[in-house]
Amino acid sequence: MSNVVTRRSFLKLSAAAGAATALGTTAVTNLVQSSKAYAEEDTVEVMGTFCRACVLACPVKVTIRNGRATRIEGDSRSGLSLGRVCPKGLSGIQALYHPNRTKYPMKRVGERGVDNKWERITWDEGITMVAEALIEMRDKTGRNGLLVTSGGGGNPSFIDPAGFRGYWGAGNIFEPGCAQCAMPRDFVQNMMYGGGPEFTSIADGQCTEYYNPTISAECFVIWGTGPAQSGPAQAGRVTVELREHGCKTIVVDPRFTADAARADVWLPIRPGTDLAMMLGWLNYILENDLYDEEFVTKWTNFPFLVNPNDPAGALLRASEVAGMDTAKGEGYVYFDEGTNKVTKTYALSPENESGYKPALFGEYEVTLADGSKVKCKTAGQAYRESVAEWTLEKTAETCWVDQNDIKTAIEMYASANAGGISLGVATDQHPQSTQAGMGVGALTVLMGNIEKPGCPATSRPQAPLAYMWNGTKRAKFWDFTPQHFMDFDPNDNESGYVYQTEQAITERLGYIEHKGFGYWQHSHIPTVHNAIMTGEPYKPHVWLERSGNKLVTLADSSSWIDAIHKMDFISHSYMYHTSFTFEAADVMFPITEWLESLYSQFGGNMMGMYMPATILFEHADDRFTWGTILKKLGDLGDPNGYNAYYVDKSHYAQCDWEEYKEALTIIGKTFEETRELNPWANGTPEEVWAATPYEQAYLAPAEDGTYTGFYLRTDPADITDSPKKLPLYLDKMIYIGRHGLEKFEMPPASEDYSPVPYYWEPSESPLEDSDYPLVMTEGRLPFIFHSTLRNIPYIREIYPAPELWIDPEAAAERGIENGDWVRVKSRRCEGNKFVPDGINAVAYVTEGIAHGTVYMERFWNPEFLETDGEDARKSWTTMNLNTLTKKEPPYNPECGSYTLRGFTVQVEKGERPEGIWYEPEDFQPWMPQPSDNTGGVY
Amino acid sequence: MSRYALVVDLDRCIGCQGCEIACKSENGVALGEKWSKVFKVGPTGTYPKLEQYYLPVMCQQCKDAPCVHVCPTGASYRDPNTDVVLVDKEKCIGCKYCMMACPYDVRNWNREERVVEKCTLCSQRWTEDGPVEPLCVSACCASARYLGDLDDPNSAASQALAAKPDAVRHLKDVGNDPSTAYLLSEKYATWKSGE
Repeated sequence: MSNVVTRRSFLKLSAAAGAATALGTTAVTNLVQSSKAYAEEDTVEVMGTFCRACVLACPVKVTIRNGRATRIEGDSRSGLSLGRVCPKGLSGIQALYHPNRTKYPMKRVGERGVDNKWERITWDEGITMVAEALIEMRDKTGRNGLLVTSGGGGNPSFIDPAGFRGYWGAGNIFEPGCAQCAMPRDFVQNMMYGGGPEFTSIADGQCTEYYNPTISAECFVIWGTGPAQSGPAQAGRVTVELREHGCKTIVVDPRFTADAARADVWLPIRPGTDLAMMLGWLNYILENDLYDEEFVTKWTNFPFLVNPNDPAGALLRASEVAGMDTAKGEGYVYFDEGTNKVTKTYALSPENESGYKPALFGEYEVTLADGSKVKCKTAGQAYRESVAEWTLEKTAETCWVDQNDIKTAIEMYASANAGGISLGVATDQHPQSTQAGMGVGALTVLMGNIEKPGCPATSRPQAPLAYMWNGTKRAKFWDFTPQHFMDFDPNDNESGYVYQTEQAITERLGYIEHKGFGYWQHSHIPTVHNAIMTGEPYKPHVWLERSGNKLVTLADSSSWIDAIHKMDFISHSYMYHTSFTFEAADVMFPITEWLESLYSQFGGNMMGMYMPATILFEHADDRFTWGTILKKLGDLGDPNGYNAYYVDKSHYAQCDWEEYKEALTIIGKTFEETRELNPWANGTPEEVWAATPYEQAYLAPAEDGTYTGFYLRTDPADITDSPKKLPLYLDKMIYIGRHGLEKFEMPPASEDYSPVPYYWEPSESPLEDSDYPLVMTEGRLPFIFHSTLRNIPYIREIYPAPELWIDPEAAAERGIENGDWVRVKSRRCEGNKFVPDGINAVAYVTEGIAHGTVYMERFWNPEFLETDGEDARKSWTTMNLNTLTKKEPPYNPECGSYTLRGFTVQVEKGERPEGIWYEPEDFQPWMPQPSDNTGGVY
Repeated sequence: MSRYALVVDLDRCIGCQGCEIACKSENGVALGEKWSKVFKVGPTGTYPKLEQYYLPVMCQQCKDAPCVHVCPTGASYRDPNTDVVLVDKEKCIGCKYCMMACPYDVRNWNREERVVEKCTLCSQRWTEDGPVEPLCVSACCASARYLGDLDDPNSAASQALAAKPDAVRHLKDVGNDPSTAYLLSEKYATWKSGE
C-alpha cells in the first residue's frame, strides 16, 4: 500500500509520540506560527474518503501526516453535507487510534461472562475454529443452526451477512435495527410511493429533494425523527436551510428537540400514540375535503371497489365480477360515473384519460361472476369510514396534545403546495411500525405530494457515473452499488449450484408470520430467542456476530444471557471488545475502523470508496472475514463453501487484498490514481438536481402508449393488467400476508394483514398502570450512533452518562431535582437477576418533554471492561435502557417490530453508581495512542 | 486596522457540539478544558409554548481586553498584524490573572504546560494569503459560524450581521467591548445572555 511509512519516519514518529499526550499536540501550540518539529521532513497527504460514523456517509478529507491520520475535515463538493462534519465524524481519529482497539484475533481463556481474559491466536486459527464449528453443526443438526447478526453501528456492509448465509445455505440473520429501524417504513413506502420516489426518512439519507436549492418546500413535518440529532451535517443542516428559506416546520416529538425549538408547531405527543395522531390527521383531511381530489381520483386506487366477502377487505378482482373482460390479465374494478357501470380498471393514456370518471366514495351494486349481487364500497369510502372515529377531540385526548395545536398543524400541512413528512426510528421502534409508514404514505399521497418540486417523495435518477470500477469475477460492478441486498439470491449464479432451498427460506424464524422480513431477508428476533431457549422449531447453534454491542441494542437484553449460554459457538467481529465479547464470544476478530476500510459508497452527487488512511495491527475489512470462512469451509470439504469460493468465485468469498484493490480501481487508472481521485462527483449538485423528472416520472409515455404511472412495487403478484395507481388502500399488504414476497408460494400468516392503518393502545399503558406510571421514549443524540462512540474521550466528556428527561411536576412528586442521579425501572426488572433495581441516569428536569413522559438514550459503560470478571458485566447493566425495553408481544403483524419506546417505567431518586467514569479526566486512558500502518492482515 | 472575530447565528445553531470537538481535536485541548463551549439556554416559557437557544461561548475578542491589561509579562497580547488576542505561552508564568479578569470564563489552564490557553481563532493556520476558517467554523453542521474582519463590510462575519440587523446580540459588556457577536431572532427566542 502507498501509505506504509518508511522505517526512518517510523522511528522519528515514535520519538515524537512519547512526548505528546494528545493527538495533534505535535502540530499545534497556542502560539502564532510556531515552528513545527520535523516540519521540513513531514510528508503530508490529504486523502478523500467517506465517513462511516453513521449511515449518512458524508465525504470527508483526511490529513495524513507521516502516515498517521491527524485531521478530519468535510468535503465541500458534496451537495448533501456541503463540507460540514459532525461530532461523530470528527471522532474518527480517536476511534482509529483507541488504545483498546482489538489488535489481533483473540481466543477466550476461561468462561463466557465470568472471565475477561483473552489469548492471541492467528487469523487462520480463528477462522478454522469458526469453520469447524459450522461443519460440526452441519453434520449433527443441519445447516439451519447458523445465526448471523449484524447492525448499523460500525458495519457499513448491510449485505454481507445475507451473502454469507445465502452461500452457507440456511439459518437466520437479525439486526437489532431492521424491524425496529427503517425496514418497516421503507417496506411500506416503497409500495405506497410506487418504488420510484425515495422513502421519506431524512435521518437515513433520503429526502434529497430538500437539498435542492432551487425548490421551494412550504411545509416539512418532522415526525418522530431528529434531523439535528441523527445527521447534523446533512439532515440537520438542510433543515436549517429549509427554515431559513421560509419553509414551515411541524415537529411531532415528545422531546423539545433543537428542531422543535425552531418549529412553527411542536406537538409533544405521548409515545406510542403516533397512529392515533395520524388517523386524526387523515380524518380531518378527508372530512374537510383538504386532499388533492384530482390527483387522488386519477392516480390512486381510492375508486377501486372492495370485496365485501373478503374478511380482510381485499379489493375485488375483475375475474370475480360478472361480464369483465380479463383477456389482458387480472385487474380491479371501479364504478364509472360517466357510464354508471362497474368497469375494469385500466392504465391511463392521453387518449383514454378523459373518459375515466370513477366514483371516489360511495357504495355500488356489483354482480359477481356466480350471479350473486353484492354492495361494494369504494376503497376511499372504506378508508374514510375506518378513520371516522378520530375526531380532533379524541385524537387530542389520546395523544395528550392540545386540540388547537393539532388543528393548526394539520391545516398548515394541508395548505402547503409542496412539502412532506419524514418519519424516523421512533415509530419503527414500536409494534405499529408498518401502520405508521402507511399513515404517512397516505398523508403524502392524499395531498399529491409526490413527484413534485419541493416534495421529498420524489424520484432521484442515478447520475451517469464519472468513473467505472474495474470489477473482477469476484467483485462485479453491481456489488459496488448500495442497496441491492433486497434482491440477493445465491442461486442466481453461473454454475447452477443450489445453495439455498425454498425450505431453508420458509423456515427462517418468524418469517411465515411476519412476511415483511422477506424485504431484508432477516428473521424475527424474539422468535430466534425462543428457538434458542426451547429448541422449537429448531435450535440455532453457531452465532457469528458482526457489529457492536448486542447487549445494548437488543430489547430486554438480560434475557439474552441464558440464550448465549445455550449456543455451541460464538464469534464476534468488531473494532474493539464490548459487553457482548465478554458475555458471549469464544473468539474475536479485529475489524477495520472506517478510516482503515476499503469499500464502495455513494452519497448525493459523490461516489467512490471508503479509502484506508492507514491499516493498523492485524485488522481486516469485514468482507474478508466472511470470504475467508467460505474458503476455509471449501478447504475442509464443505460443498457450499467450495462452490462459493472456488467455482462461483462469489464476491462474498473475497479474501485477496490485491485482487480486491484491483476490482476497486477505476478502469484505465492505477490504484494510486484512484486514491487521488477518491471520492469523485458524478456531476455537480446542479446537474443532479436538473435531472429530476418530477411529474414526468409518471406522465412520460410507456412503450404501449399509456402513461408510465406508478407500478414498480404497487401491485400484488396476481394483478397482471396493472392500472398503475398508487395504493392508498394497501390491498397488496393482504396479498403478501397470504402468499409472501418470495418467488414461490409461502404459507399464510395466522391473521390477515390490514390494508389501512389502525391504532391500538400501547400494551403497557399509563392510562391503567399505577406501578409504572411514566411513559418512556428513546431518541438519538448528535454525538453517538447506535452503540458506538461511548469509548471516545471527547464524546464522553460531553455526555458522560445518559440524561433522564422528566417534567418538573413528575420530578417534584418524586423529590427529584435537576442533576440528581435517578433509578429507572420497568416490568422487566421484576425477577431480573441482572437489573433488579433498574438502571441509572442523571435527571434533566425540563419543561421540554411531553408531560408524563420520560426520555433516555441507550447507553453502556465500556470502562467496566477494563476490569475482570463480575465488574465487566456492569458495562451493560448500569445505564442500559434496553434492559428495560420489551421483547414480548404484541408484535407488528407485518414486520414483527417489538417495543423499544412507548412502554411504562417508574423513576426514583438514586445515587451515582460506583466504578463509572464520569469526570473528564477519567477518560484519559482512552486518549488515542497512534501507531503506524501495518497494511492490515491481508 | 482589522478586527477579527466570530459571529454565531443562534437561529441556525442546532447544538450538536461539533464545534467543541473540532476545536479540541485541532488544538489538542486536554480533557476537562474547552476553548469553545456550547450552553443550552432554556427551555423557558409555559409548556408547550417554549423557547430555547444554544449559546457557543469562546474568546470574545474584546476591543478593550482585560486579559491583555492585567497580564504582567505581556504573554496575553494582541497580534500586531491581525489584532487577534493571543497568548504567548513562552512568556506565560501561569499567574492566572487573565483567567480572573476575563468576564466570560473562556480562558483555560493547561495543567501539563502550566500556562493559560484559549481560542486563537486557529490563527496559527493563517497564511500570507489571509485568514483560514477555524475548524469550528468549517465543520459547523448548521453553517452557523462565521469568521471575519468586522471592520471589513465584505467579510463573511460582517455580511452575516448585516443580513439580520435586528438580531445582533453581544454577551454582557462591562466596558471590555466584545467583538464576538451573536444573531438571535425574536421570533425564535428572547436573548437572555446579555446581562
